[in-house]
Amino acid sequence: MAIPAHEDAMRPRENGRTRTAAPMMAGNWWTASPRYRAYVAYAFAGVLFWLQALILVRGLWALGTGEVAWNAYLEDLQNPIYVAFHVLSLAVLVWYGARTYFKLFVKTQPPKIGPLPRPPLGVFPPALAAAWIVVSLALIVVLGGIWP
Amino acid sequence: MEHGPAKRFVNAIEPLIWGPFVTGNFLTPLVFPAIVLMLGIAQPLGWLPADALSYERAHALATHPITVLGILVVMPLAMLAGSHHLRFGIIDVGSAEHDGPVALLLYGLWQLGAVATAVAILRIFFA
Amino acid sequence: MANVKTFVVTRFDPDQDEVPKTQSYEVPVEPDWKVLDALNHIKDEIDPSLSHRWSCRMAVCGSCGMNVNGEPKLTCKTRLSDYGDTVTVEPLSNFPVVRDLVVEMDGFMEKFQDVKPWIVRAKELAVEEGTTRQSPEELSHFKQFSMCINCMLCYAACPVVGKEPGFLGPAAIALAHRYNLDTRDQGQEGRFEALRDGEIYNCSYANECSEVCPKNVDPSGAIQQSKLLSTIDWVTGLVLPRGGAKEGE
Repeated sequence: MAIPAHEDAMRPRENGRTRTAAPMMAGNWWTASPRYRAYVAYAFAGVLFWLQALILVRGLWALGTGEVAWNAYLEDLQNPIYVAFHVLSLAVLVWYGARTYFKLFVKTQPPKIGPLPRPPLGVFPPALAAAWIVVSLALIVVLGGIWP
Repeated sequence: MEHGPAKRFVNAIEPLIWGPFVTGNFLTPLVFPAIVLMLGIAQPLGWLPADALSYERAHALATHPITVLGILVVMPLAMLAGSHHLRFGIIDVGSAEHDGPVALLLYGLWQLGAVATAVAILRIFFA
Repeated sequence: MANVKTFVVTRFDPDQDEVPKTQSYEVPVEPDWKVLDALNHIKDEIDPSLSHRWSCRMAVCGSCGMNVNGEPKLTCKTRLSDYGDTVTVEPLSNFPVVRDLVVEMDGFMEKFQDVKPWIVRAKELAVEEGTTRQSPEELSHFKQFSMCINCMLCYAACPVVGKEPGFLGPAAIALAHRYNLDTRDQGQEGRFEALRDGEIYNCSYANECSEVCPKNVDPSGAIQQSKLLSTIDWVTGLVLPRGGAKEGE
C-alpha cells in the first residue's frame, strides 16, 4: 500500500511546466521482506545497546556505593527477567556483531585512503573473527575468575 | 527546502558523530557479548567460582587502568551507537519531519549517559 | 499459445486528473516477453494514450525504470514469466509524476550536478608533458562506480530519498566517489564538501540501492566509503590548511 513520500522528494529547484503528482513510497516497506526486517532489527538493536549499557552502568554505580550494594546488584541479576533479557541481549549482540563484521565492515573500506592501499578484502572477515574470539576469551578469563 | 535550526546544527556536526558511531558499532559487539555472558548469565546461574565477581575482586578489576580506559571508551560509544541507530530507526519507520529535535534529544541522552558512566567510575575510586 | 495477464497500470493526466488512478488492461503475453513488451502492446493495440519511457530494450540506457509489483525494475529486463496473472506497474517511487508512468527527472539531474561529476584539475598538464597515465590497477579502483546508467532505480528503492529531500541519493554519491577515486582528479576537497552538504550521513545503510542496481555499481558501498573518506577529509580540514583544486582557477 503506497503512502506519500516527503512532498519535496526529488523535487527540482524550479517546477516544470505541468502539474506533477506527489511522490509515493511503499507504506510498509520495513516489514515487507526478510531483508527489510533484518535491516529494521539492526536499527532497533540500538535500544538494546542502551538498555544493556544502563544495566552495566548500574553495576558500576553499585561498585562505587559499597559491598552491600554490589551484592544486591548481583542478586538482582539472578531475577529470571534479567537472565532472560541477557540471553536475548547476547543473541542480538552476536547477530549484530556478525552482521557488522562479516557483511558491513568490508563495504566501508575504500580502495585506498590517501596513499595507503587496502589489503585484499578477503582478509577482513577472518581477521575480525579472530579478534572477536581473542577479546571474548580474554574477557571470559578475567571475569570468570581464572586470571588474575 | 528549508531545514529548521536544530536540523541544520545536527547536519553540521554529522561527521563528528559518524566517526565515533562506527567505532561504537565496531567495539560494542566486540566487547559486550562476553560481558553479558559472564555477568548476566554465568554469574546468576551459579556457573562461576564464588569469588570470581566478589566485591573485592570486582573492585580491583574496575580500578585497573586498562579497565577504566576500556569502560570510558566502550560504554559511551555503545550508548552513542544506540542513540544514532534509534534516531535513524525512527526516520525509517516514521518520518524525518522532527529529525532535528529528536536527534538533539537522543544525543543529549547520550551525553547524560556518558557523564553517568564517568561519574560511576570515579565513585569506585572513592568507595 | 498466448497467456493473458492483467496489468494494473497507474494513469495520471495532469489536465484531467486530481490524483493518479489505476487502469487495468488484459494483455495476451508471449512466454519470452518482458514487462516493457506488454506496455508497448498496450500502447500500440489497446490504449494509445499510455505514456511511458523506454529506448534501448537491452538494459543499457536506463530509460525504462518503473515499479513492478512494488519493486523498482528495468521493465525491458523484467521477465513476465516471473510474475503471476496480475502485474502492477507504477511510476518509480519517490519521484514527482509528470504523466502516467513518466517521472520528473530534473531533481535527479540537479543532484548529479551538485557533485561536479567531471575531472577537476588544479592545473591542466601542458601538452608537452604528454598524456596523463593511469595504470589498470588505478582504473580498477573506480571502474565499478563508473558503470551507472542513470536509471534511477536506486532512488526509488532508497527509503531516505523518500523522506529527506536534501539527501543526494545513491547514484550521485556513487558518481562523486568514482571521481574522488580517479587518480586524474584533483577536486576531492570540493566534492567532499558537496557530499556533506548533500547529507550523505543520512544514509542509514538499508543497502536497497545496491540490491536493485541492474549494473552492480554497488552505490551503497560507494556511500559507506564516502562517509569514511569525507569524515577523514573533515577532520584533516579542521587541523590542516585547505588548498585543493577549485574549478576555474
